[in-house]
Amino acid sequence: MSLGALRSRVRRVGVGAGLLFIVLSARLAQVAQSDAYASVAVDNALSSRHVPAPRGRILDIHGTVIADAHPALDLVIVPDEVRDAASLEVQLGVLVGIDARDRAHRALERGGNAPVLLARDLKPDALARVMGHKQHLLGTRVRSSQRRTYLHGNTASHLLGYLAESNVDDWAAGTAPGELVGRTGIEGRFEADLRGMPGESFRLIDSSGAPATGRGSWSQRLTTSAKEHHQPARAGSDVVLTLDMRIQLAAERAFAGNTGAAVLLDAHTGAVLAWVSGPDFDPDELAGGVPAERWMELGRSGVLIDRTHRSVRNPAEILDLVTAASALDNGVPPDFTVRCREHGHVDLWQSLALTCDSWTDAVGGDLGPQLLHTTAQQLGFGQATGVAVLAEQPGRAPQPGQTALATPLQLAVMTAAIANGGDRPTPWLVDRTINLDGIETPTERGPATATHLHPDVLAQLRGGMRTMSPAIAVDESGKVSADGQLYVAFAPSDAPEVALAVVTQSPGTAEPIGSAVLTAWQETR
Amino acid sequence: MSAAPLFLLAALATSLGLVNLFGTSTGSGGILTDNFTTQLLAGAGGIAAFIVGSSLSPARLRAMARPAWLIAIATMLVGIIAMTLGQTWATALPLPALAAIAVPMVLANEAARPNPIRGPLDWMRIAVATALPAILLTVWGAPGAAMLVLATAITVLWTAGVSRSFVVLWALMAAVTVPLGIAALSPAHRSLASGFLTPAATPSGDGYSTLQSLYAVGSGGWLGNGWGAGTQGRLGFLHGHDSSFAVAHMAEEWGAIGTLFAMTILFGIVLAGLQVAERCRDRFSSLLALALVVWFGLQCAAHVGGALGLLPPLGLSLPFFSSGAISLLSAWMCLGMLASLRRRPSAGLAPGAVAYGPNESVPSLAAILAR
Repeated sequence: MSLGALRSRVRRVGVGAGLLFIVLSARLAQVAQSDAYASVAVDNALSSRHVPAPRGRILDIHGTVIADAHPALDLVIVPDEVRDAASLEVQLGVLVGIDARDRAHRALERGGNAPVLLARDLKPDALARVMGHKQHLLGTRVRSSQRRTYLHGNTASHLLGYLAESNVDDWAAGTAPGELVGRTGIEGRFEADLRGMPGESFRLIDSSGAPATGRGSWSQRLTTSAKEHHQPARAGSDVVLTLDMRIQLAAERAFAGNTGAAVLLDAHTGAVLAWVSGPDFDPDELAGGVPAERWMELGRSGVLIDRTHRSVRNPAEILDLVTAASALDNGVPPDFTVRCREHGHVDLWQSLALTCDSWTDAVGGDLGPQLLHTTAQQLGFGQATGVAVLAEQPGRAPQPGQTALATPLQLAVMTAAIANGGDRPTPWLVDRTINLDGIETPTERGPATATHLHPDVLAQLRGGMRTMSPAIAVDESGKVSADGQLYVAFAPSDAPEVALAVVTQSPGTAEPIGSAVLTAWQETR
Repeated sequence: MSAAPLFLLAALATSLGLVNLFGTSTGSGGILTDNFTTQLLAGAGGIAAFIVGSSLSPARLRAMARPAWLIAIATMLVGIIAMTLGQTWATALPLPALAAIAVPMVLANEAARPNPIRGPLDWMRIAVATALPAILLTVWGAPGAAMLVLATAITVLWTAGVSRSFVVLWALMAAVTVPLGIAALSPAHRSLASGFLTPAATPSGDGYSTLQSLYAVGSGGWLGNGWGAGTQGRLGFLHGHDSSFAVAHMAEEWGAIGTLFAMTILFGIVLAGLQVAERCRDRFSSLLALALVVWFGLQCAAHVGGALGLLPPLGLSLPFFSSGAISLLSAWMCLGMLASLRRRPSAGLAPGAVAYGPNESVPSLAAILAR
């Protein structure tokens, strides 16, 4: 090949080089103007931190704080960041405690890069130990969080519910691992209002996740970006209950040691004034997370069951009120007498006062099961009351071969319907929510349901119940079961304002508890 | 025709490279790292390398071709053996820089005859001269440099007028051996080669380097974040930000426009080198200039292509911009050789002829640039 031909080929190589230059330049321009890549370099160097929102408070109707929140510091572990697991576990056992050590052990067995809670709400001395031995606790972090405080201990524990550590489903919904989430009661039902809006803060990190040190234009650029990304947490709304803590506390005292429930309602609106379920539990204990064995123990003991609306029982002689209402509504006069071997001739009122079955058996038999069933349904048997809490038991209206079953809440609603002249109110627990800006939002209330029982019938029934009540301080009208384990009442007798149901498992205890609750109510008027 | 443009372009590229490196090398107090200081000294030494390179006449360069190749092969073998024995210093040997000088010299020498391949022996000679360094570089862990060997050989042989069928055969061989070579590489290199196609599919795995490089370039946009304001390299997200991804770091801080300026300087060096190759009046000089500039240009293209996700990022440095003293000296030496070839376009016409006599003194830099 001649030198001339060689030169010609050199020129062609030059053309190839030019084309290559154009291709690379075009690609450079393409990448440089790509939105997909533009912000990632900054995101790389910013590590987001979840800022928990202060949880909203739970207040009674008068503004008394029942559950509060305050800032706390938790110790968490990120298993994948731990280098020396054995040494870390030993250090945790010494510095924080055995529980933290065991939690770390379980977390390290599972692995992962999500923070796992080791110790909640570190006390000052524990915090000092942790901070003083940071170099021995690599892989753990102190994280800001919120501590829930129940100012009245176990009071209304079932109604308030409890918090538990967030699980996988909660993480998918945006809750940070280790954060507490309302599981039951008001805490669970109003979780969305109470939890607020978590914030996000950012810090500068290098590729190993360590804080980026140094100053310069790069640092200023990232810091500016971190500030732009920063989102402050927004506190949750306060939830104002219909509960009156003065009555509630008196009711809890009166009920102490019993198994069962007591409910006091506003007879007209259905607002819950007192809500007691026994035995109760310590929501603080559950919020910290309890070992599986303790959960099993709590489950077996039934302590977590809210007996106001989750536990049903045969209403026994309280059902006589249904029979009486059915008889009166179907034209049987109250002075219609039946001969009883034990009590002689008894009319309706005597039979109810004496807890004598002869009248109700005889009249009930004549009326037939269908009419009784219908009246029981009209008074709310066999239907959930519609109270805005989780999973309510509907109970059962009486029918051939099957006894009636009712929750204490249903008995209270039935009593309210008798007391107010015929409307079965939907019980409600939360009066309103108040957000951070002070804007109040009333909660939606379920409508009252008409019983369609004639007002005269109910008036006669109220009059009858008045005669059955013992003479005590409060002007109440009520009906107690033969064994004294069930008691329903309303007060005052002439112009009823509240309705009550008490169910216990100890004979003769229901009525005194009910009277104590009504006395407390009387004192708040 | 003066050598001044080549020198000035190289000086400009070196200066910009130092500025780019300085942007990544300052700590919180503006303290220079050893890396930058070494590069600064190497930049100064580059002028000496340029003078030495330009003092070598084409005839002397041709006479040195085979010895230089043998020295390069021997060094590669020593490096591989030492590496096999676990000697960590072996991985720091400047084998690609050595190959960047020795391989073009031997290729130009073998292809300098008007009809380079006249029989099987010629074929074998060229095959060994090319394939051996390519294989050794691959084994040592520099597959990018091995590919430069093959690509430079194909270009030089084609330019020299070797029959088309031979070049096609050569290219086919390269097409078969390169993937096999990559397959034989360490897992780290293999993953680099496979991850660039769909980097987003394995953002923390094989596609990591390519993706981080694209983030750096994308973050820079047109005008860049400003000198010293890049974070991808400084905070350790872009591994090799001062070497195999120097251009990505540059793009993050200087933007596409600044990077394009730097690329234009490098392209200017390529064009100047091709101009030398075109104007030489003997085949050896022309082919040596071509081989040197093809190697240089392809190395630049592979580096930039790797950083922009067009090619696998195989760890090639960007001449004048990536840190590495020997690499910088080697680049300056190559340009010095180009200056020598540019200065004596008629030298080497007669086999064995020398432009400088054995007793001729080395010219001064001013004299080289003035000629």
